[in-house]
Amino acid sequence: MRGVSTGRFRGSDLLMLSPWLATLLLFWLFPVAASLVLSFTDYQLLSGQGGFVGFDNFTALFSDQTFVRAVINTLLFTVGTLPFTIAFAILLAIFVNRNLPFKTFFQSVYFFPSIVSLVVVALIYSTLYARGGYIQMILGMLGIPYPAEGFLFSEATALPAIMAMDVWMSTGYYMLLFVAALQSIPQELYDAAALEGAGAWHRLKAITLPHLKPMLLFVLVLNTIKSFQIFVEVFVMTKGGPLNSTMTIVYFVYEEGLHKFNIGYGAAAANILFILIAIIAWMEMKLVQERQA
Amino acid sequence: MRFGFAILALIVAGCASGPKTNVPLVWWQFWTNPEVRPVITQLASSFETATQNKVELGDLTWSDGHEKIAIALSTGGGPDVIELGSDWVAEFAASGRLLDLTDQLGGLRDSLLMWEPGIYRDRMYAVPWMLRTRMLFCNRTLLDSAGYPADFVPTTWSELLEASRRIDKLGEDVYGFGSNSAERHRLYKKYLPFFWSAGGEVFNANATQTQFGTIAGRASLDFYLLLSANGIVETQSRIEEYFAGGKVGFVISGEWLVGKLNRAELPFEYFVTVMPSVEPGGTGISFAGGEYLVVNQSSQNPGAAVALLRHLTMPENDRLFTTATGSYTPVNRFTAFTTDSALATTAAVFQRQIGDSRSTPVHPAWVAIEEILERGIEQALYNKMSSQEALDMIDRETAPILQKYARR
Repeated sequence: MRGVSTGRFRGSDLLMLSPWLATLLLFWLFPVAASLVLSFTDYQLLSGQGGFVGFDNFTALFSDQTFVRAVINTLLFTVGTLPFTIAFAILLAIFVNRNLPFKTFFQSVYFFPSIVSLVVVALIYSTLYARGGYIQMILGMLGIPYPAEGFLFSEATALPAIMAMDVWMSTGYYMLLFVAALQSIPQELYDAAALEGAGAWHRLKAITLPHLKPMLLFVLVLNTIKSFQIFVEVFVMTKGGPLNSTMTIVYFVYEEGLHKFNIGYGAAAANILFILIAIIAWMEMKLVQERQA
Repeated sequence: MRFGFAILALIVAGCASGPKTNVPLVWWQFWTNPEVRPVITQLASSFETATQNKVELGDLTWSDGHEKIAIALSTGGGPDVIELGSDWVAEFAASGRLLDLTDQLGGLRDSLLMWEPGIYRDRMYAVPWMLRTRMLFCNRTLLDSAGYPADFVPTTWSELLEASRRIDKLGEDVYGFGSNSAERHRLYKKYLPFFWSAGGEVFNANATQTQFGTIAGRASLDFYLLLSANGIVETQSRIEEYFAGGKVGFVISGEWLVGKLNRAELPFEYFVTVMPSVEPGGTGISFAGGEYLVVNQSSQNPGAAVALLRHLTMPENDRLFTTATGSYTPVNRFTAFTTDSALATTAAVFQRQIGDSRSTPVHPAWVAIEEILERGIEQALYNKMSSQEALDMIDRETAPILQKYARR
């Protein structure tokens, strides 16, 4: 019967799938496998030399203070940005989803930062954070203390400064996702709750947030992965400094792999990052699913 | 059907291996700015006219050029001729990716200056193309405000430090010295001149150990920290912005800053002088960098590639390139180079300093050593370690890297 699946896989099916399969093999599976193999070698990119070293790269990484700092910083970055980004995104989504004048204008304004090039944003923020920059000027006028050397040259403020920029930049994008989720909530539920005399807070708790959970899970996992992969901001703004206070795992991988050409060592760090992301994403999914149950 | 066979025949013919003719010579270089890029094109064209070899230009950027070159060479392919920073030559030469030019340079050896960074284990792998040195830029107006006579020029470390102190006290937004922060690839270039001026040598005789924990290392780092305390610690580009804004007394920079300052309408006077020495009558050493040209070991056309190196360093082409880049130090000693009379004094200072300049040691692991050196200086700059602890740490951490290469 035409158009009905017989459950059998035919040669022509394989032919149709071949472009996708080739892409999957060449650009996804092969690099992953190659990275795994390389992490057990001391392969040097330029000379092409290197042999099997077992788990040496992994054990060396855990005693490498720079890598340990990179892992801690990456976790701090994720923990420090994730709740704020999601909370602000939900609040903004609820705000712009109401029938307010200039609704589209506000949506565009909040979404705008996420379409600007990350490099451009990082350069602008570098100027804002610099000694004598606008942020210092504003804080000075308000009488709030600030690091005299500029935010990106202080060990205490460099990472939080990048985190603040990232929250500013990411919120608009997730806001749009939450707006889409909000619009899928049937209006009848709110009408019924209003008839029952439920207040705004009760409606938020009983209707809005439960309906946002699938999107919340999606945003949580997506933003976690994105946070663990932070690179451009560090590359443009601080190069991991000062004193490794903004060193992150991906920047460490770049430094080792593509700057010093310790490909095996860099690959081992990249694989640890992969395992970390997988574990944390799995934990997040379990957590949200259990709450839903 | 016949049409299908014709197409197939054409494809087979196209894929067939055989001697390649009219293969363009691929040259990767870093000059993309509008003042210099047309000259690069002009130099390539004049080579094409002179030799009938086609040149295909590839542009690199300093942010990722090192990686691009390494990846291209590691595949066994890549361009024929490549521009390299002076401190990268040993790294690529040691990996066997560069053509040994020792027996192919002939007369060039006597005409060009500063070959040292191009020589690795007594073999020549790179031809100098552009020389760079750093000078002390001084704000005359701030010196006047600090009570210095109109002809004052700091010639020793103590004079520079005292003048920085006095300028730094002039006001909230005025700084004595523009000190480099922990900025990768730049900080070590600011520390090493003081280290060399104090008589320091980076390596011991057999290059198995760095020697920063010595008296020279300590004296130079302590001096750098004192200068930093009497000024502003910032990135190189921002230090230069502050200087151009008339807010910094002294900065160490290169010819590019002269160009920037001359294009701006400055509300102050400045002058350029040689690096100060430790004691009166001594010599202040500066950092010499440069651009070098190398030939890929896998080049299909090495003869033409070497001819391109010769062409680019000929006196008339050197003059064109030097003028376009705003450099004052031609690489070819026979280049008839004159500069604007208004800049003649500045040019003379640069030409004098280049003779008292040194480049980084030629070592394949310099990139890793440089990173450790900068990390150590950073620890001292942020008061995380004393200067002696930081310098000892540098010597300790560089030792295994150097010993690994010494055993090879």
